[in-house]
Amino acid sequence: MNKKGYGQMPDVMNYLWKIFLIIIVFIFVLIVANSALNMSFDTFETEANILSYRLLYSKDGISYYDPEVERVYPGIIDLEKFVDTKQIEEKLIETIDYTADPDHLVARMEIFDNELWNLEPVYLNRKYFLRWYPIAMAEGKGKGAASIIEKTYYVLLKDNRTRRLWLLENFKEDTELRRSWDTLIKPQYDNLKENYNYADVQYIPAKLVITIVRPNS
Amino acid sequence: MSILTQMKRYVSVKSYLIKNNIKSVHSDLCMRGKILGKKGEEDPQHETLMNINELVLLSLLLLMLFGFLSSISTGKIMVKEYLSRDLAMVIDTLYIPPYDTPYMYDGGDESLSEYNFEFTDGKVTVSEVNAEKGSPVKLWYPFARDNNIVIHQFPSLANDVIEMRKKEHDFYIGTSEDSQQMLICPQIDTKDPDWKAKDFVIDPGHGGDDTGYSANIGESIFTRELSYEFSEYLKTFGVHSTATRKLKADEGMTFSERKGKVSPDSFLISFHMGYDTNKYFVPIKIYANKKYYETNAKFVCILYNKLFEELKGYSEISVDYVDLSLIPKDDPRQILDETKNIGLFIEIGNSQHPEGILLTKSTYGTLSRLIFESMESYYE
Repeated sequence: MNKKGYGQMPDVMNYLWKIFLIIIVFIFVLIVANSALNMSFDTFETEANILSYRLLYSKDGISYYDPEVERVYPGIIDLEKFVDTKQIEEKLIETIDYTADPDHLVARMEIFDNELWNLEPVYLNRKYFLRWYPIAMAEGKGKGAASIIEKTYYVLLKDNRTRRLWLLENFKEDTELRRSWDTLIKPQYDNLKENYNYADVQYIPAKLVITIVRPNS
Repeated sequence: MSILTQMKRYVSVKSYLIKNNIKSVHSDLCMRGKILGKKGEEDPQHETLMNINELVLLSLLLLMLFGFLSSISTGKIMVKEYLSRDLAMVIDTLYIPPYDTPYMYDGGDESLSEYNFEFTDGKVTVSEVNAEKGSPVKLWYPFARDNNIVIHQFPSLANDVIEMRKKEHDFYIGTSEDSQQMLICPQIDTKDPDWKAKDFVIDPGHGGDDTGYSANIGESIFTRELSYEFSEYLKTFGVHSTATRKLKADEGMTFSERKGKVSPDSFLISFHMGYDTNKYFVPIKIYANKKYYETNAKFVCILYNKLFEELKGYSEISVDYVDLSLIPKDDPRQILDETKNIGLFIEIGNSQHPEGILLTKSTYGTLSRLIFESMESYYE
């Protein structure tokens, strides 16, 4: 207290208010400077390209790989890999492993042929893809959202019997052809299933769609 | 009272003090009551201190702002961000081809020697070499690791480039950091007091019309000179050796003639020059016969560790046990099949390197000494 009986507290409050104001101004300047400088790079498209090439062209990817001659046949998809999706997905997780950031990039590979024969898709990191895909489709912006890129490739499916078995199986469902199932088709089906020739390979034109999703962080 | 008003008052106080030659602010201002208005209205000492505090705080905040802007303007954060991302994508790309892939990363316009690089736990971490101790700012970016391929980071000779090479199940990344490890050698008894009397055979690779690689220095000349140096070195320690061709003059001998000079009991060392299309890759490669792995393992391990200790600043040192039945019959390494004793085929340096590192005479003596010391360690 001074002589007139005024306290010191109002001065201290005034002082604190000034400090608070200075800090607010400082933070504002910092934010403006930071946003104006834009220090982030967007490399998603390049990374998506690299990942799709890796899925397509590496020996542990989805393309046909002949271990005898250690050669990958780019553009030829090994259909056998799409029959047991669990096995190929485990292999992909092992060979394309984002350890430091597990959902850095996730992908789905779908095959469509001209008869709309849709195989079950193969995923790179199924759990995270199913989590982020709906968020990416919502087309949100900023943190918490996700970006999406779709890559389409025209490929050949290398098939020994998988697709033919499927076609024959479909006859069972067809009302007109169901009658000839036992007499005509089933013997073919059984023969193909049990005594097929590995060298008897068919190449079927198809479309491969690789969908790559990246959470924004 | 606004800051502006206080500052104006501060300036008027200062001029008043100077004008009246007053040194003690407290006594004069408080007693005369000329600065802060009516007596008892405010505590002048308190007010002045407050003003000084405000100025100090403002200066500190401005300094922090300038520091932040300065770190951006020098570009270190941006460069680290860029390098980590770029390297991560390069690694991802190199994983794609199924065959061996060499690559030299030069960082574009950036000087790589100013940064440290780590390639562990599926991420590329970049930090500054000259960062302040205690808090170097590290930036990292993930890459998709292939768990079937082991990443080896090794010290590199090349300036301002990062050597990368994917080779079957190994991915070699050469940086200036020292990460290659020494080997733990087999603990088996190989003592032999009479070891100096053994049949030591030195094979200088190629010779005569067969000059070997001849880009910068003829391989046959290099192997002959190195072999001569080595045999002379052994001689000074009382170890006699024979050579598969003349060491003082270039003598044309066929490969089978040279092989004929190696007996099943010979301790064989065959010198060759390395070759790699990647001119900055300067390795030392030790090949031994896979069939006699147990005979060779301890000596190879000792030699590897000696080379590693002495030459770790140079380049990659590797050991390969070769199945000779799988390589062509005219491959120079087939000479290893002539002995059942220790037999090494050593490829040194890279004939394509512009400076011929490891191929100069100054390193002949070092290599000779290291091989001899390995012999001593093995037998004594």
